[in-house]
Amino acid sequence: MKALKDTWVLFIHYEKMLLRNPFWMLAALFQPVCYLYLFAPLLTNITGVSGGAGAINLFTPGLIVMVSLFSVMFVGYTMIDYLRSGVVERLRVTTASRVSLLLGLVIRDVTTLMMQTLIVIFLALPLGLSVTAPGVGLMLLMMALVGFCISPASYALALAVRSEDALGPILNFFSQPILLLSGVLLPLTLAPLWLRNLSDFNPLKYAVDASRAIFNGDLSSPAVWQAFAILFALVFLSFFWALRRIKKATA
Amino acid sequence: MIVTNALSKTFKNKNSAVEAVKGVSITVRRGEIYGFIGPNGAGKTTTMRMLTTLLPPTSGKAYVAGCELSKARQIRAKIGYVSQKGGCYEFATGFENLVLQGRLYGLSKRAAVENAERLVEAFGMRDYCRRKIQTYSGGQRRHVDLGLGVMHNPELLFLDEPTTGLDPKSRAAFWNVIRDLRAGGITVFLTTHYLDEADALCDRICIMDNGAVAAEGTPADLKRQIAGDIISIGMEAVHFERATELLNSLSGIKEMQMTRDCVKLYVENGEKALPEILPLLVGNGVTIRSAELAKPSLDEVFLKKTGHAITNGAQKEDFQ
Repeated sequence: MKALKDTWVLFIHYEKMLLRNPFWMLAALFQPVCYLYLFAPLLTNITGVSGGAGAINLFTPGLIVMVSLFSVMFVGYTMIDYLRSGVVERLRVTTASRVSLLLGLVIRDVTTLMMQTLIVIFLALPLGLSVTAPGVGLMLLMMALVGFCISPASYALALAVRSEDALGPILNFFSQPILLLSGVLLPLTLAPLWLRNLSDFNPLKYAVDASRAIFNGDLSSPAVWQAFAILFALVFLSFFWALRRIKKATA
Repeated sequence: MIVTNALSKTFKNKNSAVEAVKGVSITVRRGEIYGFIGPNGAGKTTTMRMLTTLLPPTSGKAYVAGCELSKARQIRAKIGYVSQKGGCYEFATGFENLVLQGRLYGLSKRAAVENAERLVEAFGMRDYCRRKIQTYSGGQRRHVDLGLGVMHNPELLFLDEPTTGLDPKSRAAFWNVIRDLRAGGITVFLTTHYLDEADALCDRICIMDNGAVAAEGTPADLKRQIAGDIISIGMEAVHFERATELLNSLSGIKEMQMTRDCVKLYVENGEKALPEILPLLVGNGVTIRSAELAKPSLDEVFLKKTGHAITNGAQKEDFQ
């Protein structure tokens, strides 16, 4: 009960601090705008990709996944800042629930991610994106799962390495191949067989496939339930790791 | 309020072990300001981290606010802790930090706001409490840090080097706030490496050196143990032998200490002794560079108890 209340109090606090920063909104908008208006038009003429409105429907789901990956992957820096500036140590001596220090941040990150998803969809509508309301709902739900999977892992890694110098390279090491092998920019149907086989091991690929199915209006596609199953499992693992780390760091 | 018995902490590495705290036994009474003094690396912060439930001891026992150290949850509800770093959220205002801290201790929103208002008034934070922490001066930050430590009205407050890095005016202001807290019934346990701070602020002090207690008592008692005044006579080390010989013939000198370029004499009555000592030395061919008469301060106590000055840390080889 105390953990729930503390989580809520901290979530509101983190959200307030985030919204107070005007650059955050700008940064959150800049990447999707660039990709939608400067990159998406290139896709219409690529062979193997259906032209016109089809291209934007193919591209937007991938863009959402990419934007969310970048927004949520590097949140661990916050934790390192809190370790260094003594915030974590101060909270350890209070009677606050240790877990809520983590959960407050994770829920903030997921909220951010869902807002970004809505913004990208909204920006893509004038370019010819077609999507149904249940599709948007399902997409939001899936992106929330992506957030609940990546954000705790980022904090756990930060608590494990305790330094920006180590965190940055490790995150970059993973983010590049994960991104390229997920087919966010170009669909993997264009890829040679070995690349496609390799991408089967990338969890994010399933999220991208599922989101393309959703935007095609194919909400009951096997790609969708497969992605949900894989994401649920990863969320579980990620939380398991992060909760262990935060309990260890704040015992 | 605090009782420790042979509290020890050893940090183990792959191939070495460092005994940071070696069997510290102290008692802190309710309602006093107790100071832990010593150079960096003396074990002050490690001891404090054990007492604030942040670090489990390797051995020994301690009771904090009536609870054994293993009962961390109960202790945390009764103590406040202000670390060297403070630990505010930089992008929130001082007031928001205070209210949040109260909420995390389980206060209702209304109670937390009321407490924060009260502290803003008591600590004189009205002018800046609505600005973000990142814009604060060192002294303003420390006041907010202190506020965070007492938001839940603890019985016992731990302050780790509270005035390090503050200018003299901010330090004096900070001391007054701590005295006010004590007057309100809070027991204060602080660490410092400023001996003047310990002298001015603390009811009792404990001198830590090299992980162990070197002396414990009120500042006045400790200074009285030095008994009498200190005369420092500067001279070349080549004259030490001759000077010692001459000074040994005088009565009233209780103790002599040599440092690199100075002989320190502990005497009963400095004003009377100095006019006797100087002609004796000069008249017998000892060249004197300087002479100084001092009433004992905690610096002298520290030097006497540990064999080295506080600024030199544990590098005893610098001295005879």
